[in-house]
Amino acid sequence: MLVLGIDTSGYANAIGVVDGERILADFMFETRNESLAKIMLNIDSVLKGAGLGLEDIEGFGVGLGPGSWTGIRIGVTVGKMLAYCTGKPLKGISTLEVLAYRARDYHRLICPIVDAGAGGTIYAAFYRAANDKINQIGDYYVGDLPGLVEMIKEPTVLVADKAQEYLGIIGNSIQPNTVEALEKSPRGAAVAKLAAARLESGEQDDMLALAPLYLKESTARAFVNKYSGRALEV
Amino acid sequence: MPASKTAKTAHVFLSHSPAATLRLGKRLGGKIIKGSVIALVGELGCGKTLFTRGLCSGLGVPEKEVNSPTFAFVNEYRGRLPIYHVDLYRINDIEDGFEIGILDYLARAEGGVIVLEWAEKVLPLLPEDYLRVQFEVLSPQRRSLEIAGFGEKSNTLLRGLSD
Amino acid sequence: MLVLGIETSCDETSAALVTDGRTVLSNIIANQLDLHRKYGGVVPEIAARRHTELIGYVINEALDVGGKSLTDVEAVAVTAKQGLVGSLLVGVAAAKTLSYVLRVPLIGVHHIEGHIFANLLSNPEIPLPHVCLTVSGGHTLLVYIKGHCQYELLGGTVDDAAGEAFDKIAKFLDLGFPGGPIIDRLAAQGDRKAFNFPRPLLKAKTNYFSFSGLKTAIINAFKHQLATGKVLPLEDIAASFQEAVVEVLVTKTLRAAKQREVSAISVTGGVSANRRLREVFTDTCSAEGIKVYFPDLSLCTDNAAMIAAAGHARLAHGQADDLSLDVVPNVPLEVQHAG
Repeated sequence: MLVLGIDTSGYANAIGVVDGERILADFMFETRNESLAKIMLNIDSVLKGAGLGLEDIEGFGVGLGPGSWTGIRIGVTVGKMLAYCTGKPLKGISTLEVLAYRARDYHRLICPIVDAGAGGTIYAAFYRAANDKINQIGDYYVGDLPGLVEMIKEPTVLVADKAQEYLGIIGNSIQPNTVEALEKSPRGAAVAKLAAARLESGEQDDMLALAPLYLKESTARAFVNKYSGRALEV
Repeated sequence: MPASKTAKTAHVFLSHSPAATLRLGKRLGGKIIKGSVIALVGELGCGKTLFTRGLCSGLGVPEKEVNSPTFAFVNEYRGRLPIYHVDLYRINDIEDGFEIGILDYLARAEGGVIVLEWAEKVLPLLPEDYLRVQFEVLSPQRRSLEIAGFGEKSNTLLRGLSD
Repeated sequence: MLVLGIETSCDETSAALVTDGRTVLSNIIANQLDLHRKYGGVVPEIAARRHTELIGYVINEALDVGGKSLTDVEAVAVTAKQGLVGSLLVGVAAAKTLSYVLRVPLIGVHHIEGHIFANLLSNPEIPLPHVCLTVSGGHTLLVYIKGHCQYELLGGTVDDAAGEAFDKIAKFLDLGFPGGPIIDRLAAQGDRKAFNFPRPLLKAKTNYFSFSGLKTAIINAFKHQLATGKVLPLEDIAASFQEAVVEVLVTKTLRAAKQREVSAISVTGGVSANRRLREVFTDTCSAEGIKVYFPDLSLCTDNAAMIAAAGHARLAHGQADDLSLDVVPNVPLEVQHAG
């Protein structure tokens, strides 16, 4: 199935096209504050570069975050409207899963991490790989890096665009070789592959209802707990 | 990061009139540096927007351009530095703060200045180093402004202001 | 030309279908949707998240109610200027995608221009030139409209917007939200002369407005009443406050109109729905031989039909944006010359 995948949760517009398992195109456009301005042009150039037109696309995949919510909304909105206008199905994939997918060959517990963008807070989750697929273990994590590290009890690979930096911060607080770092960013082709697999088995999202993956209550609680000592004192 | 940090220095300024509040803001605006975070706390009508107008004026933004971002949440001005003027009056809690993109603005403001009215609503989201201006209404005309510096940069700013 | 309009600059998520810049086929504003039926959840109160979750619904509903399909859409107009970045970008992202897939022209519209067109939609006969007062929670702006899409900014608020004053006073007096309609209702039962609240900048020879002084005057009066243990006549406070705002808005707008020697005034924006404002404007203007126009009530608050109408006018002048359209959160209404 020909699927276009988009992820705008980081500082880039990640766009890719796959035909089932086969990658036809995979691009990262570094956009910072220009994500919105460039997104349609980026999509158009990726399609053209792969010798495709929008009418050839049979399905859409979109990264739901977590990450920069402002950025994620761009990708989610574009994905929704692409599906709506073309009538083709849509599947949202969590950005953490997209990252984890890139470490599916590691014989370790996989831990993708996304920076929340303020005060050292991160979003993370745990996955196990089997037969080229990955499955989430447990709930999402919202908190700081030390708190995440406390949860790690077996050989694990951290997957993040700042993975080496996190490894550096963890330092000696954990047994050597327990944690490895894999520097990766969410790629459009990975989104497209994961979406294609689900779409092919008939699983799709309601294109009008699709929303970013807000880690709501946990986010607020994490911040409040962390900084509760900073309550306004008279 | 430490869970709490008490202010290193605090100074109380008395304002006898709206014009005085404006002037104090302007003085601060003249001394402010890139990456400053200014948290304004005080009841309705205490002079937060007025103070911000003065601050922006001290950064070279014409007073007329600075008005209340209550509905917009954020107004952006270009002075000596880019200024993000945030008004959290309409948000109920930190969750709402996320939804309007407070984290994105705080990140962007590292290249400029960010002033937050009703800052107490998102206090946990502020960085370690920020300046807090707490307003108290003493009479219809008079206000006291307690300015406290949290962190080295803000304390330096406050010392410069008290001179 | 059938234009699909999208508006997500502030709190409302809206989509609309307008033909030839004058006939509104549909004007969907999110709070009117039966969201629980369609969405089955609690809709967030605030801005950007709400927009992402509603944009698909309002567009779909606009087409449904307007009896049109996507292929009938000939152009897309979207609010791209003036508003909160996170909110604006949802509308623009949707609009760009529509433009790309449907291969139709795209035009980014300034939110205030939308409000100006809201009145033109309701009253196509408003003559040019005229003076327009846009007054809402987020804006208080006086504009001289020379010709089609030709604007000169005369003045605006130096602090609070008029609508904002209504909301803050209503909240302060614990009257509920939104403040405008509540104060409007309460004031009808009150004595507008009970309190003589200040009319800031009323006599000043400037086209600028100020409402924060009025706000603090009410707060002080309220505190004073409390301190002296008197009973608080909320209806009277509401009526007197409203009278002060109305007097300033009408007097200064009329003065600007006479200065520019126009025969018409347009009053638009959320506060233009206020009954006392309409009453005083109508009476005062007729005494001066000036005609005053108000939009239909459904077009006073933020909505996409006004954006579609404004977009249509721009497109008719040969303007269009390309797929690199970006949002601009703070920008004054341009002085732009037609064609």
